[in-house]
Amino acid sequence: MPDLELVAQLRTTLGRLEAALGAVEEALAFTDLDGIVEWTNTSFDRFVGLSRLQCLGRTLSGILPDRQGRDPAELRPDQPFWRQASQGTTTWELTSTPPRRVIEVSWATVNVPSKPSLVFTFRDQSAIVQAQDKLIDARDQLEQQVAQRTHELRQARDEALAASQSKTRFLATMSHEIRTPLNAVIGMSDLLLASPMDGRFKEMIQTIHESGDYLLNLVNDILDISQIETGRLALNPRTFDLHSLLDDVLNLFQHQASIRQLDLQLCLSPDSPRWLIGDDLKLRQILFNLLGNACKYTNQGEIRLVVEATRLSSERVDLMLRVSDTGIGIAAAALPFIFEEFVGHANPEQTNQSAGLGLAICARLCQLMAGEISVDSSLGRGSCFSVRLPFAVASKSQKRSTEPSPSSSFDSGLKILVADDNRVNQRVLELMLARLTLSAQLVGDGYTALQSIRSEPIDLVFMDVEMPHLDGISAARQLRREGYSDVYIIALTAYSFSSHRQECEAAGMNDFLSKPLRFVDLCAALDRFQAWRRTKPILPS
Amino acid sequence: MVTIEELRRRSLPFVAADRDGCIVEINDLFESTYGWTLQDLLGQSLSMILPDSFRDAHHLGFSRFQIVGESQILNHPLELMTICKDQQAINSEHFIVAERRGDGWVFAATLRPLS
Repeated sequence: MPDLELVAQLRTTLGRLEAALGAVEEALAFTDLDGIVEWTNTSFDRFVGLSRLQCLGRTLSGILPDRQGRDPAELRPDQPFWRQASQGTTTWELTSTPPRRVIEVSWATVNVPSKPSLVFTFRDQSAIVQAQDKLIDARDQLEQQVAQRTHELRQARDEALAASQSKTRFLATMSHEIRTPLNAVIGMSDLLLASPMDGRFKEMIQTIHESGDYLLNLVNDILDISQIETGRLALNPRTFDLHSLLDDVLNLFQHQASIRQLDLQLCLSPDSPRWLIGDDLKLRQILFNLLGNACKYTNQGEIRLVVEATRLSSERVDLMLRVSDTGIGIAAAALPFIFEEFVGHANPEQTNQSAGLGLAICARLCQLMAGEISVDSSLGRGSCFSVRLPFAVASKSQKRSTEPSPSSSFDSGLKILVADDNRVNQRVLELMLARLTLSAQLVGDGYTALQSIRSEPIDLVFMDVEMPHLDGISAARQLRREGYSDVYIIALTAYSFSSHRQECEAAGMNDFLSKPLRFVDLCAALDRFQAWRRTKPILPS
Repeated sequence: MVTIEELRRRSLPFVAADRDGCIVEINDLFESTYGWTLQDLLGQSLSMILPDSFRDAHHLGFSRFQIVGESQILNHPLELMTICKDQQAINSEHFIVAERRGDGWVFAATLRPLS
């Protein structure tokens, strides 16, 4: 007779076990070794969509939902998936399209001696897999967007580069084309102004000359801005005389200031070093722009250029240059934009002959030279532009090597050859040389220039860079290759990029003159030639 | 709600069990349909007339009902196999009811053969 209390206890234990297994989230099933279902929990019934009574007695493979990639052999009673091993885990994908439904299936053999059986667990991994899928989708989408954006940016960069190169080419060509006729306008008017003529004609010639100058400055400004923007403008440091540079610049504006009855003064602090190393041409350009503006926008009063130096070390100095005027001043609202391109003066009466590039160039040049520029201005009272630029202080030996040679009269017996394909340019140079009692042989291309030099001794060649048949650079290179080292070659070009200057130097040319050619520049170049002749070793003939 | 007495009065094979699920009564129709005698089944578990694969589930479900007092299989017809004395399985419609007796439950069912 069974112990009733023990039976009741066992019933309670079984009941609790059944209730507990019914509450778990995983679907559970119990089968015999052939996979005939003997017990299921509530989650399993929900998973297969059948009641427990509908499951009992059937093969497990027969009631499980269909899945992707299922081996057809598995449906055969002798080939169920759990036959692979006594226990294992596999993953089933129940749907072929998103959202994916993925089930992790585990099984184990329960080795009860009298009646071995199998227990199965079905765990729904869909939420995790769907979250992973969403992450993968988001990542793929992001990668695609990044790739697309990168492609667009690359395309935009390539287009911008192509546009920039095309702009630079266009500017170089236009510059050349404009400078060639300007050479005639400025050169010829320059020569005419030196001739005696009555006041009316002189005034007209003066206007032609000034207009040519203005046009040339405009072309130069546009080229400078373009070169700065494309990063092509490089610094060309050399030793220079600061005091002489300041005197030169001031002298050039003295005439303009006196016409407008303005007092133009230079206040140079006594401790300012004289010899510096830096890009003097760019310093000159900055001062030109600032003094030019001061003259242009001041109707009465004075213009002052104050120069002070702060020694940073024995080798470094910070130069502070202040250009102040008593002019019309700048409106406070316009001050933030004053260093941007094409921002002219707010007063229409004062904007004649201004493209609004000067200050933009100054600001960019200061930046290029590791300095800075600022402005303090008050409408109706005047403006003060302050420029700080760092320079190296030149040593004694550096000073000597660069001290300019004294100007001397020119030997009229000099054998000069002018190679230029443009007749007007040839004539301008011929006339300028004539003013110095010099004459020249004229040829129209590099090939003829070579022949002339080979056939008779030539001291000095003015070599245009762009010529038909054989260009100036190739001709110079050929001359140096043939051993004509005692022929002084001055490149003559309407291109003004510093890269052209470097190309000329590399071809063996001694000097470089930019068109439109000015008489003073020609004289300076001839001075340099004379200095070169004096220092040149005398070679046996 | 159908009572045990109502089931007993139906002209169908009838079986009754005590609070432990042990058979206490069968009718003539049950004997003639499934071949068992009362002597064969008296005091035996109801699982004796169920297929092998139903036995564990029966015991677990029965035990759970004893504690919880709820079941999915009571008071509505169920299509199940019934095991005859000769161990043949006959498809039948079971209608199972439970009634409180003191602090426990007693059970009864009609088992209409379907084939």
